[in-house]
Amino acid sequence: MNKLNKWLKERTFHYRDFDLNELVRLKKEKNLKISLCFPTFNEEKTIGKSIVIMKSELMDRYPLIDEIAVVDSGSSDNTCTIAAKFGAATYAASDFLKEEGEARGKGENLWKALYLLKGDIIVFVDADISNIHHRFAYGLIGPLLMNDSIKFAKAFYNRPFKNAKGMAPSGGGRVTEILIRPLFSQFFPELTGVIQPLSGEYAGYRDIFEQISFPVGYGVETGMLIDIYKKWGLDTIAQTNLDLRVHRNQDIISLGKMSFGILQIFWNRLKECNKNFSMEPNSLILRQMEALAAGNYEVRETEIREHERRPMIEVKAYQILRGKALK
Amino acid sequence: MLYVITVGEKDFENLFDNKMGKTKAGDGLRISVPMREHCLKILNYKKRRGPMPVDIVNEVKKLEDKKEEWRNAVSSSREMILSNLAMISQIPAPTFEEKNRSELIIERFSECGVAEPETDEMYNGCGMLYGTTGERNILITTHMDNNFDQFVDQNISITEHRIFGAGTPEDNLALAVLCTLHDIFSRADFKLKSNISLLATTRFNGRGDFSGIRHYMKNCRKRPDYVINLSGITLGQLDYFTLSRIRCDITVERGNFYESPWLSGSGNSTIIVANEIINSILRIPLPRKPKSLINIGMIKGGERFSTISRQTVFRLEVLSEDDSITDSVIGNIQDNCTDIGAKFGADVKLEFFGRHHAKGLTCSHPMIKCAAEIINSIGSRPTMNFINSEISVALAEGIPSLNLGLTTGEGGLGGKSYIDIKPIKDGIVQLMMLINLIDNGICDE
Repeated sequence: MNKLNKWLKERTFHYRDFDLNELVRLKKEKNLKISLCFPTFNEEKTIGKSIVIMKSELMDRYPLIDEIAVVDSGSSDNTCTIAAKFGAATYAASDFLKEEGEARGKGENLWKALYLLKGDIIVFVDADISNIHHRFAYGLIGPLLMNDSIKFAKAFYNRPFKNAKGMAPSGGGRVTEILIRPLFSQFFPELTGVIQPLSGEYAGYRDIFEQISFPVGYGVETGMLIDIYKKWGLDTIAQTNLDLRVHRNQDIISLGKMSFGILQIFWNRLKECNKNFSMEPNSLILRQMEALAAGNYEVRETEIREHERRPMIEVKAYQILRGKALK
Repeated sequence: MLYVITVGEKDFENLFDNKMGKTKAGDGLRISVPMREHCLKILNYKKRRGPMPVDIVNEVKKLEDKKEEWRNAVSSSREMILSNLAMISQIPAPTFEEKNRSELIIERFSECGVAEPETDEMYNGCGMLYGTTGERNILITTHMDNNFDQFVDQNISITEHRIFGAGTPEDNLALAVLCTLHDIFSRADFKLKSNISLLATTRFNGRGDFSGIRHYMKNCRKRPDYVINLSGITLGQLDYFTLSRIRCDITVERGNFYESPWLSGSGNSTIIVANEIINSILRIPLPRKPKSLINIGMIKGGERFSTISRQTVFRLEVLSEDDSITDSVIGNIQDNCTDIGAKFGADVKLEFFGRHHAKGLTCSHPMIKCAAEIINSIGSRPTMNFINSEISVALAEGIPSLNLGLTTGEGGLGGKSYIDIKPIKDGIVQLMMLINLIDNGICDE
């Protein structure tokens, strides 16, 4: 517990701890390029604002970010048109690395962003944040620039959510509290210090991201956190308080699916850690209860198959592009 | 050959020999007959009417070249304007609770190099853009507060051509532009002799009763020579006069009776008393000219189906083109309330507030002529209307003031209110053109 508390004290920041002028100076001094990626799928309501704010504040006003890109999973709305209009580089994930086979999901977009973006540091920010602010990027870049031993920074925040009446003052984080934290407590107790392990905003050095595999679907955040922790240790990880994040509140059925996907990834990681289990998950079918209009109930089955992308450093096209070979 | 000469008024009169068309000095300068006639016309006009009028159409035309440069500068600030708009919208600012938004405005002023960014005792956000000589003081203002509390989602959505969000059309865009003006001026190399004061005011709406701008006007170091108020919508809007106005809360209360209408009679209900008062107000005679009206805008009363209402409150507004009508209506309402209160044994309280006097410029004022011509020049049509905005306070102090809209869109409290992105550029260019003409004395009377 002492180690965990020490980590919490030393590696937990608030975005107000960082001065933008100082971050720009450090970035120049370290001769680093920083890329910002928004993984998207039908985010036309929020993507315009996200790009406008990041570009205005972190490219025009404070030259901290060199590149803003949208990596899209095939949106059917105007997400890509709007993103391009406000100056983001826009990529359809399915157009690249076709030789690696097809997959679709947020993790796929993040994984391909490593191939498409140029930065030494890559910041990933979800595109569905209603109250987007540039702190969502610089609050995560801050720990990486200020402390050389930190390689990966993750966001946490208060999460009020929108409902029919307007803004509800608290809520969210249900999968974290009901699934992730109990699992971490059992198997990776040190990771219980991460306040919001499922937060969709994080930044890290390319050197880290390219060496871990990327779950394509729901489990990308969990898998990434466990992998970084196992390979480089808790001290390479930091977390930043970004105050308030307003987002769409997901229904319980969707959270059930998310939990099921996360469980698959978790089990994979446990196997890799040679944890000895007498039981393993043997079904990819999630069964959820549905109340019918007539007052009866029905079990609805959904197949959720969590696919994983190998570490980008192992991909031949990436090695050629970046001039890197597998060590 | 064309000779351009600049002379004082007396020299001008002495210069020309009406019969000969020669200079008295006999230096051989010849003036063509049309030119001589033109000069004579000017002389006669000056004798008849005083100072020569400026050719406003021509002055606006002279800005044609600059207009394109300024458009480009505004375009290059587009992200900054929209970013400011997004961040301003994220901070709720119901009237009397504008502090957080005010702090953001000051931070934005400070970040882009506005001089003396500060808040005053009312949390008005102020900043200065100093001109080379400070010849005139131009106040550019808009208000920070709106009608939405913290539980209303005010986050905006920026789409390809439009921005959606509560409050955006009314005021938030104007605030965003106010915060970005210095950056736009720098990009456009827009240099002025005059000082520009930037002011984001508090306590505008409802019970706020413009107390933010009133406080500023009372305490500002130098009285503005001109005031331009900005509104989100609508581009082409040109408001420069205000109506006489008073608002009133009327509260009808009763006590000491049986709750049950069965026992005490339903006539005791404050709703019935309020209804009598409303009827009496509707009977107050109002002239067609000067145009006047009484609007009963809000009413609230009663608790349950089964009980007699103990309290009823209603709110009304009196508007007129003439202050004396408003005064007479106030007297009538007071008398009616006293009579009806006594008749029904109810306690009727009246609270008058938000008094504004009928003030304004005429369309012959050079500032209004300039603004109208500018609006025409950007391909829009000037639409004049009365307005009760910050300019009411400035006009009451005799300061030439007007209100300009910045873009097209649709307002309202619902989530469907929006503004169009493209016209914002023209909205800001019209503002720059007007500032330029004020700076060069074209708007002086």
